[in-house]
Amino acid sequence: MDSKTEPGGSQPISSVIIVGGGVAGWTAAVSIAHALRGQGLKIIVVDNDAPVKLQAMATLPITLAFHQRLGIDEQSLMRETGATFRLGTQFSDWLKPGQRYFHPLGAHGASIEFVHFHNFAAKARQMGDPTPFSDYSLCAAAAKLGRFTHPSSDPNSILSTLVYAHHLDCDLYAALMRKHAEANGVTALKARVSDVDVRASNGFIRSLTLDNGANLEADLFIDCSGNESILMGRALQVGYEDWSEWLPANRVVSASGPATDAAPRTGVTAVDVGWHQCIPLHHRQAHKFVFNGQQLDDDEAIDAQQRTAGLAAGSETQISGFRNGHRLKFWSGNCIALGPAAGFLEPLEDSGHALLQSGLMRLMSMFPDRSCNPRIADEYNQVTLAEYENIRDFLILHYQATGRRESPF
Amino acid sequence: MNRGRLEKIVIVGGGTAGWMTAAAFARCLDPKQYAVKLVESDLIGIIGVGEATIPAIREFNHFLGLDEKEFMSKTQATFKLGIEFRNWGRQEESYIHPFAPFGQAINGVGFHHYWLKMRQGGDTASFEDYSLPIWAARSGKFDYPSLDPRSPLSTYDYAFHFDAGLYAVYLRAWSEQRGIVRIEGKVIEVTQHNESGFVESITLESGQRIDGDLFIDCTGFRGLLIEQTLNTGFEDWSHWLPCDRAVAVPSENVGEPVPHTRATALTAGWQWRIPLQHRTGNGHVYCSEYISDDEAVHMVLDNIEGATIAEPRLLRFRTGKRKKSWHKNCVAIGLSGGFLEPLESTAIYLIQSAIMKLIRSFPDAGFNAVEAEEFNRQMDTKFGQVRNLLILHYKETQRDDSSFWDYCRNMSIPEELEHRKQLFRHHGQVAYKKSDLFNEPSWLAVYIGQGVVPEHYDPRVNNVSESEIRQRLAQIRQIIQHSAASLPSHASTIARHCAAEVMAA
Repeated sequence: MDSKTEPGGSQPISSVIIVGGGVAGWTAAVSIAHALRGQGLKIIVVDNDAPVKLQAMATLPITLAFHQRLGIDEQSLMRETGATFRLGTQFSDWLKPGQRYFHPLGAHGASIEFVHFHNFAAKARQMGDPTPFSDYSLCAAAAKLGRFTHPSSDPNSILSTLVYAHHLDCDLYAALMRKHAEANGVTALKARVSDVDVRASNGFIRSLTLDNGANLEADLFIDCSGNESILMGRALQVGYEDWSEWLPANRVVSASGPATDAAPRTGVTAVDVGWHQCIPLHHRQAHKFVFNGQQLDDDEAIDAQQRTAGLAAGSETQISGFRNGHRLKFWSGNCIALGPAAGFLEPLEDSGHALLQSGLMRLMSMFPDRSCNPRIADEYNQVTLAEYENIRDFLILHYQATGRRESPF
Repeated sequence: MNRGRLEKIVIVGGGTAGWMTAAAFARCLDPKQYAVKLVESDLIGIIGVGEATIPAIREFNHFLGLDEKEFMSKTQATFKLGIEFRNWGRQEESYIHPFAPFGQAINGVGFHHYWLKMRQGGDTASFEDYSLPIWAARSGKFDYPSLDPRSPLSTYDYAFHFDAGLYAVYLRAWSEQRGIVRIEGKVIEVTQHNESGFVESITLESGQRIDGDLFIDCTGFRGLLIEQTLNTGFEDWSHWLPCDRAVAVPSENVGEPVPHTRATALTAGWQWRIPLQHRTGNGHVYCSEYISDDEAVHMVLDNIEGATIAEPRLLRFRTGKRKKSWHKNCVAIGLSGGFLEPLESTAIYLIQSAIMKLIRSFPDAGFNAVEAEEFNRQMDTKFGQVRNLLILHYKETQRDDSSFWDYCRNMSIPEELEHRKQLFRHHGQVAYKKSDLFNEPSWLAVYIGQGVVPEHYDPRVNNVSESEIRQRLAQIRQIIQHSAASLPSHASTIARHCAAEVMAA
């Protein structure tokens, strides 16, 4: 019944336009092109994005399955993106100054008698045992020693409890995705979108007009235009659910420092006025300082970052704003938003790339026909929203559970 | 608020729910710290009929540390590979819902999409041809799954049919050995705290008063504590699942027991057939609005193979769920918490699930509301999941041979189920979430079995050439038939591992 709502009905999708390159746009392009290779699908990426330079990202373990599905082997991925291994995040000064804890990607301890391990650790602590919880995590212990090996496939080995992901350089990663996408037949157009033609009858996008005058039609549109959200936000007028009431940080300073022989982990340090993240890459260290623009001006933030990260004054920096939250719909009509065009959550738990990857895996497992049945969009929206809310709650917990009371932040 | 440990636990009601709860407490609550009493009356019968289960029961038995073979022989148990549904989508049709995936995903895309494509191209192989346990079940074969993950014989799971009355007896002995105190008697009075309304004590006919900090209501449909005392309220689902009565009658075995439950749709309900070692359990679940009790009894007797060995027993019920399974200091486990007809063999699972959730969020004497809320939320989810799959059986039918089926075909269904169904019908997508009780293969078995076949398959299927798909599918069918044929018969596996003592049927 729903399939009859659109002319073209249940014909397969034959053309896709992705607005925006960068990590999101090129990852989307390669995912779709690879999944539907050899089916004559025409994919265009409208890419006028400048390099983001200083940016790096930490990924979650879903990244391994994601790249495996694309047929991108780990060695070349790591070589070409300056990647390092990551076993978790070291949080410093978060509960109170001087205190640390480690959030490993793998589990803590093992259940005893069907009771989850954390209950035993809690009892031991009540009885006066000062052992930190992270001493029960192999990921944490290995990260502390700066060691790494791949997990064992033997379930009886303690090494099978290692769970890992990567740190990646954003520009290098986008370039690698672009290379694979182009090898799979994706076309890049260097242009900007100047107008979007939306069908009044059903809210589907018919075509885009570019600043070079070209007019492009497609069956499916992917909005990877970042904060601008050119299609979903601007053209389709899908609103934004703002979560800054709970997560008030709204600006980030990015910088870069020399590579060190760093441990396989992300570092996050809370300071009075925000928090600092350090991502070790093969060729450099990427730094981010996340803060609230109402409490701190940009110069103070740059200052705070350079102090915390031990960077030389006058190092190159980049400042950008963001709003924690998400589009009210991630999929509307024949348009799907991915990456920051869909929503943004501060990178405290490194969810951004994982949200992109799981969104793409979901999209590929429910790839529509031209009718873009609203049931599929509903399902996609429900599951995606649940992911965002789950991460939001986890992020809020970091702020709520702090014992720090010395600053308004 | 008193955050101290609660000490006195009273389970009211024996039966399957009561003794499963008692056994779990015996297993994990230190008798030096907790006094657990179970009160049951010898005069009040238990509902437990021949019971069919899903594989989760093995986790519960493993948690208790029961020896599986001993458990089977003590409860006259047989193995179960799935449920056969006869005459549901249409008359004269049959399908099996197994505990195993169908076929094998190819390039990360679900198997059913490949099957769909070939079917659209005229291939006539049935979806069941890609399930090893269905082949085994239909030919009366069973063996334990292989532990070698490379073997096709490792791909299925199994459950049991057993006598729930004997299971309660077995767990009673097991629990009493481990410090659970059984008190015989009928409850005549329940005392509540003046202000909080918490249950403080129960008084028996003998005059004995039993105090408790935590009460578990296992009193069956009536809900002596949760409803008759605490007035918790009931959410009625009979507009979706209109059957409200059952008649149960055991019969003698005819031939070897089959390794599957059978549910045969009739004109105003359905009939179960549960094979045990010593007898066969039969029953007719029906809707009293469309058929009289007498007709219902006749119908079940007409469809039984062996001679009956007891008078038919009539049960009345209302499908739905207690508004809160955990209210104040009382937790309802079993029929007191809610009732769903046994079409998908979930009764014992719902008991087990409540027990394990209670243990995981075990309260202290302060009874923090968060624990009860989370427990109730999770139980609501479980009941809702079972309910929706049950509704699908009734709704997705082409039967038009009675006004009962006309009602079912035309009734409105919960929005969540409608959404799932449309998604599958249009797109072959099983909206499966991690917390779902029934996983993707279960939904596939029921959808396709009931005649819901997707219009479109996943376009990634087209990355594999038709000749390769044809070859892979033929290979899977061949391996399955070959492996199923290599299995021993169900009866011989029982005889070898877990034969029960011969007892009067």
